[in-house]
Amino acid sequence: MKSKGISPIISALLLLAITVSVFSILLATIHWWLSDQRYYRMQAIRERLIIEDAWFMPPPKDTIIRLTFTNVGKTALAIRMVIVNGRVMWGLKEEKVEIEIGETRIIYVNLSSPWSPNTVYSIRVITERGNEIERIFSAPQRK
Amino acid sequence: MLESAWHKRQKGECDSYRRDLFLHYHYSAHHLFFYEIIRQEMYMRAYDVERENEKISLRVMLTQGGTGFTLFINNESPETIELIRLWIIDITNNFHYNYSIPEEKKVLNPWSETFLSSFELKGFIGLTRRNYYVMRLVTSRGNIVETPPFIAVPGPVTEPPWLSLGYIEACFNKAETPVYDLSDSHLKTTPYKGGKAYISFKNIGSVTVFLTYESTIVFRSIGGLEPKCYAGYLVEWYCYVWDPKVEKWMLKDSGTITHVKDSKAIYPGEVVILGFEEPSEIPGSGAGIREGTYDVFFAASGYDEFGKIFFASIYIGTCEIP
Repeated sequence: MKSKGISPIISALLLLAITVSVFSILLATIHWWLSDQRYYRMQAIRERLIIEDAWFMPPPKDTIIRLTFTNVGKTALAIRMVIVNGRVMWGLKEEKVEIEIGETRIIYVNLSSPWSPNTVYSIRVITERGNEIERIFSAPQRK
Repeated sequence: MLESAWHKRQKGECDSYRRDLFLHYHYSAHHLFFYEIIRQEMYMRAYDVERENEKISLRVMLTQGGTGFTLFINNESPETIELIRLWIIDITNNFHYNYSIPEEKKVLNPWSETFLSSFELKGFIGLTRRNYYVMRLVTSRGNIVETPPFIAVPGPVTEPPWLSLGYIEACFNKAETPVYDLSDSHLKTTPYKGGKAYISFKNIGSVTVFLTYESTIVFRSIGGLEPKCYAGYLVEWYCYVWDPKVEKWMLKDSGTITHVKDSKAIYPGEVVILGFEEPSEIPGSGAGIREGTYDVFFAASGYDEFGKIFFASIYIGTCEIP
């Protein structure tokens, strides 16, 4: 029996359909990815966080700094990491603190050794969307 | 990835960022794609400008013998400001307290002033006399305003900023000075009977102070028919140290005070004996004080280690001149 090939019209239509569907999927994926990126970026732009207070706690808790954060931005955010003088002191265990708009939250950062009096501490905070803020605090004198 | 304007502003790169943003968005093929992001950037930039425009000045007046306060909050900006929290930081004992702002005091209209009294704060436990404090106010846009450190004693107001935070008190401790009350002598305490007056003062603040010749001792008669007041200028100072070997106060240093010569630097914790000329009705004229019963005050005048003006008014006690 002599086999028959696909007619040129059908093959052209098939190729067209495959091309269109592949490009549609590609376009949709790119569009989805870009939209996601754009949404993420827009949310990141709307983030504003302040460190209201850093309390270098007195003995016997003198290895702890109590940090008070307030979300003063236009979107909810999450704190992912607290870096004290260049060392990650909170956030290594994948923990995060979510803060709604206008909300205030407290994080206790353990320095592992007592804080030094009259010393400058740089406290950097990184949010889940990658924004970071930094504030310098001076540890008080010991009584 | 692009950084946010706020992020750039935090790093002080605001101007270069604006230029970069302009070049990026106007010459990029992604102009349309980033339209929404630009809109957000603009929106948040306006928010940041509002935040930067906020300007608040604070004044603290201490009440109830130094344990209460009235905080005057002045909005010196065209923005309506929402106050969210007041922090009271006890520097002396290293304790941080925070209080919510009462609802009726939360919104501060442009160019207006309000005040917050300590009794309006829920859970306020009172200031501890002679402790050092800082008050910090937080706004809903994220601005933080602080008062300069102040000491919780009645009367002083943390503004104006040129006023010293120095604090001295009459020294009535026998172990610290040979002159532990109003005296006729700078070496020991003998009842005052007129003439030159001596008394010890201790710097119990945290800043070094200098006293000038404008400091005076003031006598105000009490109980007499005709009220009389006398005053004498500060003219000399003495520092004594206790020598345990001979069990005597030994003169360490002394000096005079004139219009061109001030007291020695009185360091925190130091005790100095101050000598005043004979009090008279016209200070400096020499006409002496008469017999009677008097309330005695010290009006201290000088400056501190930061060049700020130093004033203190101290009630010494009652004195009877025979």
